[in-house]
Amino acid sequence: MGQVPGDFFFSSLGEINAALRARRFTALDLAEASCNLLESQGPKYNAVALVVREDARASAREVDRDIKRQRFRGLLQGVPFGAKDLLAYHGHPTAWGAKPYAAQVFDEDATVLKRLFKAGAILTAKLAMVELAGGGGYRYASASVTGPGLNPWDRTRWSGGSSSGSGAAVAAGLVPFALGSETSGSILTPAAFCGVTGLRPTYGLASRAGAMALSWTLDKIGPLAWYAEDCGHILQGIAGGDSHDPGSAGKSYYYAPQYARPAEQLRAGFAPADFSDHLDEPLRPALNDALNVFRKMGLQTKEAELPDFPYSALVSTIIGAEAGSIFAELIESGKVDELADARQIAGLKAGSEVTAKDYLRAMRVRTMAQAELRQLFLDFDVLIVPTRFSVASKVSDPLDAPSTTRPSGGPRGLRDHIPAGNLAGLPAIALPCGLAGGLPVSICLVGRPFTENLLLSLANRFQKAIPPARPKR
Amino acid sequence: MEMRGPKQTGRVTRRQLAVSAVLSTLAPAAGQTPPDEELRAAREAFVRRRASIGNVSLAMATEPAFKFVP
Repeated sequence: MGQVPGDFFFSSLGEINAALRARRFTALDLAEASCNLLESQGPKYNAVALVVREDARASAREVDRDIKRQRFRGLLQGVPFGAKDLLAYHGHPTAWGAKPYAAQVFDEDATVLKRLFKAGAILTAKLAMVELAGGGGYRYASASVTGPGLNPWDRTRWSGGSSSGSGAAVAAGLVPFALGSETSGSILTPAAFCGVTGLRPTYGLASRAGAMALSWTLDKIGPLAWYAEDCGHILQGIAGGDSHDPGSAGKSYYYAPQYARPAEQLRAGFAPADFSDHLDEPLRPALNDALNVFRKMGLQTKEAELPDFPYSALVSTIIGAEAGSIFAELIESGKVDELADARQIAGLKAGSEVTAKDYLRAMRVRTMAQAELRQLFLDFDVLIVPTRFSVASKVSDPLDAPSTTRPSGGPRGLRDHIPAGNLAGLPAIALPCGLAGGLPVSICLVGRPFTENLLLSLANRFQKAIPPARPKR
Repeated sequence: MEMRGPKQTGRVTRRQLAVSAVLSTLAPAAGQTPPDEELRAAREAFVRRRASIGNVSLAMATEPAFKFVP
């Protein structure tokens, strides 16, 4: 039918759907275009684990038959997408980003993929990721069997992890959206570094059946796309109870931001230090402008501070112990030594030595932290915080080096929002909010459990004021 | 290792193995620090974490929750 423009996948789901309905393109045109881009551009960013062109063609033809008969199934119908390579996809390698699993093949699809297929979305690629989603803690961006994730804004910079390919493929316009996963930061970080929108849903909202387990009590699956609105539609597509996931909340999600309370009635917590001392200087103008956009929307902002807990130590201990059990066979067989990152190998081994007493203590303290965070959210409807406090690091830089530009002391603020929010299972959305030195800057909204519609309604309004910028190809 | 839900078949085509072999050559060399030193550092990190978690009083703690309850 039509020639798909090279920049078409920077469009919103609504625009893509309108083009399909108007017969400007067929779903097959879009699938072929996405596969072509993934094959030609994907290697520039080490973003792709596997292109699944033949399967995409078959699915697209089915969608085209449906559209021809006017069987419309919603905004996701006919839209190509990529999935982090920790999600099982039948008959193809699911490598979890790691050499020891490079030849691993499953015969079923992850639940979230099944749900997207039912909605008519078309998988065009499995996307690169940090090996084992970063379990054990890695030192270098190169901790992946596909090499370091390179940032579409500047290929000397990291695309973030562990959903590296999901962030890069969306930012480079290779797919309109991608699925990622977060145990502690793996959706928010690549979304922030690549300048796209990333939604971390409430724990238990999207099924993890068919996804690699890193931490049973922390893992979550969520979308990365250009627009918050698209993330809402995608979440509606993947959310819902699943008896195959013991962590499932058994809840559906309907994207209905119009029913969220208006911004003027909402109380937002922020910490001044997060927008000054805690933040690398070049990021301050963009983030303070972004904060002011929320104020202009009518949000009542008030100072907030996270309750005092050792969030990072808790997350590391819990992931260490759970991953030590999950990957016991890998560790005990010695195959763990095939991983790319020496620090990660050591971290997995050391994590498997965490005692039950230490793990349970961490889990008890976690329960206390959750309770205090619930208390904090009695005073606030949403927390506003920089997603990351610096721009994407250089690919060769060690990721565990302490910051040389920011003080480690001072007020706590909300800067530990990533480990804290993950420990408490809170939803969060990362929104691009400008550039610093040519690299994306991102602001984050964190909400109470199951308040995705509230976050998305604010995010939609925010993106009318500050729409996401695109990198040059 | 563990994956939730679907069972692994172990069926791998020759092409998939070839892809995997190419991918594995792309894996960068491990870091420069000797493995035993890395392991010692990783163990020490867990000791530091234990200490910082140990500083939190459990006076108000309940039993641990293994599933997030909204």
